[in-house]
Amino acid sequence: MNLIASKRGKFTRKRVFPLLLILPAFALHAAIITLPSLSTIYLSLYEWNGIGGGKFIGLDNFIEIFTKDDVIWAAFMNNIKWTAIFLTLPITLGLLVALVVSRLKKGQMVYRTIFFLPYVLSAAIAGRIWTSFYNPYFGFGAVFEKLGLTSLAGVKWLGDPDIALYSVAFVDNWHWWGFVMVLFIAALHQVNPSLYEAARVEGANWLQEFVHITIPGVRPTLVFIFMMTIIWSFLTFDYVWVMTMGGPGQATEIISTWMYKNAFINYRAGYANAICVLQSLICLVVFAATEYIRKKGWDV
Amino acid sequence: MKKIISLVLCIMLMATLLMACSSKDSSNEIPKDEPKQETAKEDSKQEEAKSGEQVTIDWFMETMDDESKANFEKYIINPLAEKLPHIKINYQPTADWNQVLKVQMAAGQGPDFFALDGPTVASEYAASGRILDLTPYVAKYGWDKIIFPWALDSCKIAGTIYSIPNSYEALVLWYNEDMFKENGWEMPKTFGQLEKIAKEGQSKGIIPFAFGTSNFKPANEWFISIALANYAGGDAVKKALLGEAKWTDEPIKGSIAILDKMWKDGWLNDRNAHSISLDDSYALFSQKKTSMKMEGTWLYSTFLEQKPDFKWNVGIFPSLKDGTPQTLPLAIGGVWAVNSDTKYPDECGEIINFMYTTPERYAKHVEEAGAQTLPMDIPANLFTDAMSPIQKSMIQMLSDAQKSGDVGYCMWTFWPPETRNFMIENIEKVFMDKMSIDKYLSGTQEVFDKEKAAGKVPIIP
Repeated sequence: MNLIASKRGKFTRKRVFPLLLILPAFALHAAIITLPSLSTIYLSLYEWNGIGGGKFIGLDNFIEIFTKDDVIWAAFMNNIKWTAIFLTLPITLGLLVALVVSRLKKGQMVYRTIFFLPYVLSAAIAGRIWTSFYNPYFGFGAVFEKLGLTSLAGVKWLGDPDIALYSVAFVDNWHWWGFVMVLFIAALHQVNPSLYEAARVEGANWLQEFVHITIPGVRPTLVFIFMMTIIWSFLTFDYVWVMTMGGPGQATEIISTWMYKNAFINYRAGYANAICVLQSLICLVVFAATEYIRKKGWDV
Repeated sequence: MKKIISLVLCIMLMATLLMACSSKDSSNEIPKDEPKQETAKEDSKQEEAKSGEQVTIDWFMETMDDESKANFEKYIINPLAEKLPHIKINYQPTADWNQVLKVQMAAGQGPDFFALDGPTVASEYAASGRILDLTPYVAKYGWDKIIFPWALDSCKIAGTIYSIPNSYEALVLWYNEDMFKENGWEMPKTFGQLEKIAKEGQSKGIIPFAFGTSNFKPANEWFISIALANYAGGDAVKKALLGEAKWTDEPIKGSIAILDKMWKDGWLNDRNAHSISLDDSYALFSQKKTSMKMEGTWLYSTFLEQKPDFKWNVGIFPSLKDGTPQTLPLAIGGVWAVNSDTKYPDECGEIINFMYTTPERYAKHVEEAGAQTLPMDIPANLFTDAMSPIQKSMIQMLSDAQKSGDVGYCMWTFWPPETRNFMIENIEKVFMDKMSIDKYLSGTQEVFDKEKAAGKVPIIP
């Protein structure tokens, strides 16, 4: 009897009503986000040109990805390089500059604004601006030549397959790190200042403060940025497309550009959907790994 | 409790998904859309059609700048409204129109009438049943007697005409005439003459060809098409496209080899083509840093806008091999197609017919605004004496090539999509020694065989 009463108590209006309130939002999300996303799985099983009817081919698209498509693996490796770059440079730079800027008594907002400014530029505009900078005739090349730095003047920033990916990644970093810095500044403001005072009283140096107070203090933000960086690095598209279209010789091809080319240039939307499914799986694995780490003790 | 609610919501979600899937028929085809529910807009359109009043045709096309838009209205929209008063055009120049159109058409929507990149793209829409069979209109209006046969034939898919060419173009050699005169150079006709100009120019710091691909990879196909046409020749390329010869055969291999040599000798923008954009390459030509620019006839209108401060001219690209004549690779610039769901197929047919049967209007559009030429004969007397001699010679060049039959094939019109993209992407690897010519061509053959088996190779006239 008591058990029944207890169970009935859980279904009170107070508990159910809020859930009913979020139902419309849930239904909307399901209709315009979840269902189209899930349809990707369905469409990946078809040979489909993206316009009309398609033909069911089972797992053939996935088999082709794993057995015949050399480009996708080169693209995957480029995404790995991209991820490695973005997990190190902008996070390190963002955190260090945030530490300096957050301690400024005057002009903090000016620095924050200047560093954040590139983030508000669209990829199309920033990409075109930097393509001009990389131009060997009018850009850095011309400047280096005038300065007598002939070896640097001859560098083909976007034309050399060995450095083109890094040249594009640099531009994306240039746009991105200011945003990371702002996130870290917000996180640093949450760290209790008395911890630093106590540490100084105990004779801790700046490195010990950084390792034992700052890093634990911003850990939730750090983990969030790590997770999002990995996911976004596998979804990135805009800067590569605007600046090199995956070239030269597919040296900057990444999974998203290869997916786009299959869908819109080769008219193989079914195959592009299969690539998309794998891309989503990678992101899902990253998310699951982060959740696992969190549950194992990294309170995020 | 939360778990129960979550479970219920997930079940609802899955049920919705299953319902969506179960609405498909049991065959293994993604079904074509069911007849759409009539929207208010469609209702009103039907009313228009029934009442015999003016009907509105939605016409979808590539985005235009203000000047092009003004010209479009002056030379097409206004005369069309005069000639066909029962048709009102709602034209929609749209950025990234190819992708937008594709999404609209995939959803079973889309405009009544639209431009597409060419017959290869049209074949994908036709295979999906999204565009109308225009063969009856070709017969009704006699377009087959007006439009050049090769141009109309290239729009055929299994004997059916699904699209009509809206312009034709060719790859030509643009050059700085003043620079040529200063250096005593003549328009080159052979590879030897071209080599002399290139080497002499390079010794003076002049880059032979302005060329940039960083933001437009399809530019690679211009040089591939020109090398194939002027080294292998039109017939050899035709055989390869028909499957009667292999892409790995000597004439094709030689074409790629000579293109590779041109790249490695620094002729194509001093091996910096991948570092600069297409616009940058125009700037280099305008700033007299290069002597030539190999591009399509469409560049005429660009030069009209940019107004380089020197005399420029145009000619046929030189032969790249003894025994191969100078060959003009031709292409369809784009096509018009009609939505298979349109309420006004006849009116769309009238629009196409208007375009092909108003030569005075069309000649003015070409002469005064530098419009691309329609693939049809235009009486020379329709052009005035004020017409630019460059434009006259260009039109003459196109006309002569039609008559002589020494024509080549441009990739964007005659190649199946995946083979085309493979060649565009991988030629850069050949240039940079990341792929051998043999591997490039065997890869081309492999992709081509697959597309040929799938019936994706366009009709080769």
